[in-house]
Amino acid sequence: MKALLAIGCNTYDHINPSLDGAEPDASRIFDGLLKSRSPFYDPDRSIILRSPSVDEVRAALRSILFSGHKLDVLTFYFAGHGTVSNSSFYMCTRDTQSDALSATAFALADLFRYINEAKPVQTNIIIDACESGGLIEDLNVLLKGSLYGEAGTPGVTLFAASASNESAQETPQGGLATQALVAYITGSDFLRDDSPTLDLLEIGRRINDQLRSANQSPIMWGLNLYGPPQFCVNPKYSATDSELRQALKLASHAGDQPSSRDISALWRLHYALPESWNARAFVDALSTCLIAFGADENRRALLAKRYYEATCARVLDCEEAMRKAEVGAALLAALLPWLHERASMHLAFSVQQDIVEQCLKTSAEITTLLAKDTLALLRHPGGGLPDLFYHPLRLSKLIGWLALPLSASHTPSSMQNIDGYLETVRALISGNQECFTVVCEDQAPGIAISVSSLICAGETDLAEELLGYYFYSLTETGARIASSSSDGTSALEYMLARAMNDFDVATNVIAHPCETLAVVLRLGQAAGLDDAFDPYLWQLDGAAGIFFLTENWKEFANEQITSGQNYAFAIGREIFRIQDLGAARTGKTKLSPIERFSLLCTALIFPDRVPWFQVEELVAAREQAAG
Amino acid sequence: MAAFAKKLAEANRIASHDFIAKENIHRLRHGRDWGFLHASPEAFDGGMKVHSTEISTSIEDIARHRVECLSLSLASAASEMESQFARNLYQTVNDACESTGNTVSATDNSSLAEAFYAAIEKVEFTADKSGQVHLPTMHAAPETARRMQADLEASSEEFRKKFEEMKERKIKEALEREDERKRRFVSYGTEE
Repeated sequence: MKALLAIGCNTYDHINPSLDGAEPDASRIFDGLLKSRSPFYDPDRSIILRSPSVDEVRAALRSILFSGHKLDVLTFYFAGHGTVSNSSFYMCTRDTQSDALSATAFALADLFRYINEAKPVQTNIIIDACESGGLIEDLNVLLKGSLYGEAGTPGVTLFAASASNESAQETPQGGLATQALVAYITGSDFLRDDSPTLDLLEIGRRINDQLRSANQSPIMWGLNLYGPPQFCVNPKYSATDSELRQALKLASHAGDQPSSRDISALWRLHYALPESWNARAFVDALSTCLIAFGADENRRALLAKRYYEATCARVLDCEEAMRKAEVGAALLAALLPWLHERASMHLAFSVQQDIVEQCLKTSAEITTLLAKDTLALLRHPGGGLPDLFYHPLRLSKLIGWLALPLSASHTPSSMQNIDGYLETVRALISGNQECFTVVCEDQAPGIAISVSSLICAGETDLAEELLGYYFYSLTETGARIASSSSDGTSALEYMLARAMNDFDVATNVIAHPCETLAVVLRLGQAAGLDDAFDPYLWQLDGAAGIFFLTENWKEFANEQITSGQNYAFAIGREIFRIQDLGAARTGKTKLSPIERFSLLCTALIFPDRVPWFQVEELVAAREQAAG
Repeated sequence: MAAFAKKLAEANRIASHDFIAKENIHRLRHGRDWGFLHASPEAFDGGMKVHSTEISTSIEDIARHRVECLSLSLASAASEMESQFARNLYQTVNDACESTGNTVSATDNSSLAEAFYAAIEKVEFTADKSGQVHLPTMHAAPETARRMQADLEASSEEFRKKFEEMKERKIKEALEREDERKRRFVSYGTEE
């Protein structure tokens, strides 16, 4: 049982001047300690008093300390006037008279006597008042050998905002010391992240350093301190971070392990979250550490697991709906070279499950959202004109991500997954049909994964509908689309060229050759859309396409894939019908289900590569069916 | 240095347009090899060629804050890259022609004008999809170009007539090939 008594005294009947900030300070402390996600103190046992009389203070203490169960922790906070008289420190209450302090003010010695009798395991006393350092005068009440020094006797921490000869300074926002204290309680200032609770003494030391420049010297005393810190919850603590720290701890023996520089890189990325998420940096930094474990597959998988969990914890409240799935996809990308190892494979299966759950959840949320407002996805901060480029990109990416559960459809709910996916895609099309258009090469993986998954699931009508939109848009632009979405200036340049239908002014930002063209035509071939595509193929006369095929899947997540072959083609040179694209180019390597899933995820986070294996298998299946 | 490399790449890109039409320049994202989807086994494959350059700046120049080093380094690197590109391009064209025997030797012809005729005779003209025929572009060393020009200007009426007939024939062939090419589509030019 833990209790807080917070007192702020602005109003005085007999003392000048009145104060402005004491009550708000007490409120801030009370709210900070009790209104967090998991309050450290028991709200039913905690009290806040605003400008109370001395009797009200005594009554509150009596109630907190002597009714109900014995307290483990008592924290006493006072903001208001304070003074030292006859070697005693007094806290001034509303009815305090300066010529009758012993009868009308609350003496610190009285508080000590209460504590000595009630014996909470730990007491924290914070006094933000002028001359509060004068509390030292009363320590003799506490320092009695009969009370302290024996095993299990109470601990006391005292924090006074100013030395006995100083004023406690105030700003319109409140007392300086209290502001600093609240910053640590709420987590806006960082103290440490390796302990679930914080200690008043440790915070006090840090505040002392901070206030030195303001010529205010907080005083701290600690008596009989033992056990874990007992002042407040540490808002910066994360159990997953702590486990990650253990996994990253360098072994004492000289074995295969990441260098301290590589580990620092991981932490830098970690602490940049959730504001800054960079899948490339995540994969590169983690891959470097995973390689360093050499043959130690268990430590490799352990680090990957801990880093994944810690990263997920940091992006938990992120506004990006798919951020957790992106983290999972990035982990699978980093694990690609290690999926043959048992420990990494098990981890990958568990991450796959997380991604599937996230995709299903997002799919259901989007369907619900669009049922209320078909344009809901366009109503977001930063929307408007940029969405002429980014919304088509977002849609193709989204239908690619949401198709992932179909590729992991060995689960019993696979039919349900398909129905849910169909419903979401139809809802997206109904309000955004014209935005199912190709503007950028980065759409290639999303289109490849969504349409191939639909064909695999036998949902050819919807696959053909999507392909129809994308093919039509390519014929309209002559397959002149932006090469990348990473640069806003290039995106603008491309969209202006597209609006004027004059692509000569934007040749530098146009993909040449175009892999999305290859994806759409090849999927058309796989779906048997010859009769629909061939009569219009002349409208793409001169357009150049490309397939980049690799079988070195272990390097599929590398920034640049070096092994593999680029196959270029031009419409009107060797391609006049989609069948001219030729027979399926299926690889010799047999991919496991988790490898396939991981490759799809990799292409979604690094959209400059296409998981051709899934498309080529469909082409092969069609060839086989045709005999 | 990333910005410097970007600037150099831009200079290289502009320089390459002097030799190759924009639509024939491909930018690849992955891999170290490429080919055409249905390249015939006999087709010449020049493979990938690497162009590289090195710049060096003395530490004294940096200490003296000689800002002109920057533009000099950029110009020198760009020039070296362009010259390597041109050398590789001509070498690749030469290798491709040698491999098929599609070459003309000045010494086998009575004059440079005749050599020019023989060279054009061996080249196919191309028509674009709008029906415009593009005549071949000739790259020659300045002195050779001057001598060839003089030879052509001094050529006989009979030679000129023969040349014009050959040119007309080749233009006609180019247009026929273009018509043939378009017929390979299902229904070129129709909206259906």
